[in-house]
Amino acid sequence: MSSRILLTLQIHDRTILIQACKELNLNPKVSGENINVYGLTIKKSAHGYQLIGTLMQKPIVNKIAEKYKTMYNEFVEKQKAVESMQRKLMKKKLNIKSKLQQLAELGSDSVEESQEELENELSSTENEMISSLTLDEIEITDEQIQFKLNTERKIIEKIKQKNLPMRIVRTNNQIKIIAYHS
Amino acid sequence: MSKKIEITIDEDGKINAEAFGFKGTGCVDEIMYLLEGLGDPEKIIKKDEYFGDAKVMTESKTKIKRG
Repeated sequence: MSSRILLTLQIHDRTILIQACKELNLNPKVSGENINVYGLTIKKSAHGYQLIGTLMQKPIVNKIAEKYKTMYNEFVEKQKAVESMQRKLMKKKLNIKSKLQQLAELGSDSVEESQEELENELSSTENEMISSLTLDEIEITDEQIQFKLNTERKIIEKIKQKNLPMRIVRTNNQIKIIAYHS
Repeated sequence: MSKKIEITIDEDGKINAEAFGFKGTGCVDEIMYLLEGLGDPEKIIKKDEYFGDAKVMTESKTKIKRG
């Protein structure tokens, strides 16, 4: 008679559990809330997922539990890194925004060059963040900000090509560029 | 009235351009030049000044959305 064993894991992430089984080449099959793997049933309970098997299956249960814990800890570490980087980027963006505001107040001639430098700085921070992350599901790009900066730069270039005086007004939500014609 | 073009880039990156003090088709040409390469116009609203009615002082407005 085989003894039943019960191991309850504090599973926070079902995706990681399935991924852990895959990395162990256990070919997990998902059936509703349950996951069937290598003759084991992994059932969802109120306290997490339970790995239920016979005593003979204990090594494989432990293996899955160990793999899951390793992957989950890695995930938590990466999440912390992401949060830290997000805070860093936010601080930098606020700083850049403040500098751009100051430049706009100084006058249009000096804006373009300095803006390009700040734009590059922002882009390099974002690239640094992206290259430090490996989680596909976490994307830290701010395409909208980049798009707006590029658009603004192109419009300013055109106005300068025509030698028209201009004024730039920035608010929290929008950028207004005014070109004056003689 | 002095001639000017106001270009607004809003929160979502939408561009709205508005010409003041122009008469005739010049305002559209000027706006198209400044916004060249930034997308096709979504909507162009031509007002009285565009058609040369100098008696009516209104504004020309061109709304351009990025492609």
